Amino acid sequence: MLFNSAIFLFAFLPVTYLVFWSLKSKDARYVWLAITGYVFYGYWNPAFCLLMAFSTVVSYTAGLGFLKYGDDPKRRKWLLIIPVTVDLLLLGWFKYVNFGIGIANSFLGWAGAEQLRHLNIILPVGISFYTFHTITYIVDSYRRVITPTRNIFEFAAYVSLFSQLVAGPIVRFRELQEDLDGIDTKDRTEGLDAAWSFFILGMVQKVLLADTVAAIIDPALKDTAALSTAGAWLCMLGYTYQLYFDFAGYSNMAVGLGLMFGMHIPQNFNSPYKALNPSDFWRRWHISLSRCLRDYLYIALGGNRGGESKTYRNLMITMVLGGLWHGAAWTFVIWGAYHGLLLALYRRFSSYWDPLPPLLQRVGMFFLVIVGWTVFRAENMSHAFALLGRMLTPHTGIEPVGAPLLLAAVALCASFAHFGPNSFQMQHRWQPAAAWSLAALFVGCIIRIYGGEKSPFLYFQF
Amino acid sequence: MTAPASAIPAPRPDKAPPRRAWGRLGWIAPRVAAAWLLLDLGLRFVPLTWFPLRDFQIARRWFPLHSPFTPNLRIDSSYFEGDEALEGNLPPTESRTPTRFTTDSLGFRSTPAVHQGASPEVLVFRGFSFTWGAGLSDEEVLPVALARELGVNVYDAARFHEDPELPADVDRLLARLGARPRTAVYVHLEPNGHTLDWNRPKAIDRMGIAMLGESRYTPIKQFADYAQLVVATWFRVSPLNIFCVRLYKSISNDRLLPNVYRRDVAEFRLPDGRPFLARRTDMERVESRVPEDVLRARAEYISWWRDQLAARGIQMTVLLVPEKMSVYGPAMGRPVQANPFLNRLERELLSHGVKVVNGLPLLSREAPAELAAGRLFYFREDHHWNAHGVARLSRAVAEALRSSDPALYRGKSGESEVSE
Repeated sequence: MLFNSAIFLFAFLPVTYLVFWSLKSKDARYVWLAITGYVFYGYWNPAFCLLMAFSTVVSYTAGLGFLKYGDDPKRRKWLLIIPVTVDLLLLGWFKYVNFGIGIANSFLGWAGAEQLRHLNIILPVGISFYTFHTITYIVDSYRRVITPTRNIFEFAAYVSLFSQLVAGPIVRFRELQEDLDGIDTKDRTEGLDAAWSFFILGMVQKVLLADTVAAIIDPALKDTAALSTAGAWLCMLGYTYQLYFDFAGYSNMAVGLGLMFGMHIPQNFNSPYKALNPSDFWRRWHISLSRCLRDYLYIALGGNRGGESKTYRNLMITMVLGGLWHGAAWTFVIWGAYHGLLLALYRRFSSYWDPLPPLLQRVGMFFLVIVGWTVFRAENMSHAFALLGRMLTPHTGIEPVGAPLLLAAVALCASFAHFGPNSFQMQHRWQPAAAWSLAALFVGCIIRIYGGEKSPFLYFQF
Repeated sequence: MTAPASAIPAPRPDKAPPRRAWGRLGWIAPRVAAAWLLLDLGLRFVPLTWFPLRDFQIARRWFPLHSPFTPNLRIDSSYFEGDEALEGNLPPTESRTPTRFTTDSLGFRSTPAVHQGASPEVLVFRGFSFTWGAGLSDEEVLPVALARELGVNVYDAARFHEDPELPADVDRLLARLGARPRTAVYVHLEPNGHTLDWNRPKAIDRMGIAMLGESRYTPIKQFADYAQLVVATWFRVSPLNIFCVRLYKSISNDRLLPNVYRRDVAEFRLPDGRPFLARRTDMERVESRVPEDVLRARAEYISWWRDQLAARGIQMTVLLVPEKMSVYGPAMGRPVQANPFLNRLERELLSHGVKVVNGLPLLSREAPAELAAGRLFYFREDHHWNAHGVARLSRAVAEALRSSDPALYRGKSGESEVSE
């Protein structure tokens, strides 16, 4: 189910909300949130609810194990290794098996051997997100950062919380534990204005900005070779803002929905296009993923504790795997490696970069980000090179159909992204005129939802 | 290591929230959503004739059990927009004279009584929108054209494509009509993929029959299926949704936004320069070969119907109706199959002893000359046949029926296209 769908807005959300607040006990609210999470998820494909349930039970059981064997390091290690392996195997099977077969076939082709058949596997929506939820829970339990919950309903509600289930943010248990523990003491009206404010702002970002840009650039990018240099730049600028407003929009809607149910979902985007350097960018872009990669991968690999060369190695491994997390394709691997390289270069040459004027740093970093998004957006590497070729060398050709509107949308997006506050810098205490204006924009979103084609969030595919 | 649980900023002390509820977003937004929902639901009760909709869409708004349309309805309409023009969001260039869409007391498309007072002697069934005549006026549909050709009354028993249809439904219809026709024309459209499995009881049905017995379970199941269909149909037709779709399509005009809907439709030009539209899915289907097992399954299904009707004393003839691009593909420069699906199906049906009128060779043979004269058998911007196409195939069907039962039909003779 999509947040930007009539069934969600007019059936799922009101029913979920009204029943939730009519329930009084903690367990009843946990159960209801878990049920609605499964309905939300199962609306896409009910069969995959079993997968999520399995992942939930495995992690919950591991949590109980940590409680029981608190002083037995050997058992604790197994309680870490087994469930994390199970989660990673699930993720690997559904997301990476065919990618692996493709790589194996390249080698087999060289050797002249028979090719392996690709498997008919459907990638469950959001598996990358809820797998990370459960893995962070297990690792945090192992590290004693959190005390695992004994309440299966609480844990099920956390894993299947619909607001952050299929496209993040990757909310760690520790970030929601306080809200979950006090779920029966919440005040329905507290934060309601902010909840709707986040939700509507997110919807405007997604439906009115990102989807409008997508409607113009998607057809144009299908025929890259026909684009002029200016057209290619316009498309990639458009994609740069589309990706941001699509995902940040989803995250804001998730925050708003969380607040409606008394949950404080953390910030996921902090004006990333204002970043001064690669390191700054990753502190601002998809913050929940960056933190996970830092805390559970980079630091686990040794971080920057083993000298310069090991630090660079760890950066590259972390970012390549981070790229691969986005999808089983070489474009994502290369994109991850590119950002790993940027981080390594920045680490090495920051003394030359940092003294530059901030405006120059911002512009330079933004350019580097766009180059990265070109690879990220491309269907394959030859498409990426073709697109970069159109952008970086002068070409005559056509502009995208709808270029004037795209230009206007890009200008509007740029003003918000580069100069405006992000949603967490706003007060969300609107005067009546502003509140009604937001409501009018909400109606505009609903008209677009009713009238346009279905538009899944870009991060659903990851 | 631990991240903050919340980063929601505290309200600024100098800017107190507005006191009145109506000024707060938490009060406004849910009410706006509720108002929209009420508007959507409310508009569903407004007469659909107020909106630019095709007559059959209005007639299908509500339908009683065992009927395809609202009974006793008469819609005079001058609105016509071809399905392909709508689907491709292209400016419609095809118009037609106003049409009348009438339904009888049983909710089937009413055919004007060509021969007053006489009970129908021929039943035309299946074929869905082609048989009840999407885009056609009452006097143009196949059963009427056939009645004129044969000199007997013909009943239009076509249902909607998603309606269930079993021989028992034919029994019920005939009982309500009080008619005993000797002949039925089964209209098979080229893309129809129905097989015996369509009506085969599923596991849940077998369980229901085992628990309740067939006589109790069947009406319950029929009513449940019907209720589901009525609700789904009612939900699908939302005037507010239609308005929003049209609004969005109006700005997807290749100026403000690219017209992405165009990708679903192929645009061709007729010799006289007029546009000719076809759905890409239809073209792909016509140009791809249907596997033998699928072909056999369809032939078995049609043969099964023949046997079922024969047991009721009704002789059945099948009319195979080709897709628009099966007929006009060559003229539009599209590849054609050396051995087209309908010709293969005709041979398979003949091997089962089914009487067949195959519209494909007939229309394909005549299409080039008709095209040169500026005439088509189908609408230019819609995949349904037009009155000219109906008239042409009804002549072929009439001749086939006459040749099989010369004593019955009094109409003038035409050319024969029947295969037996």
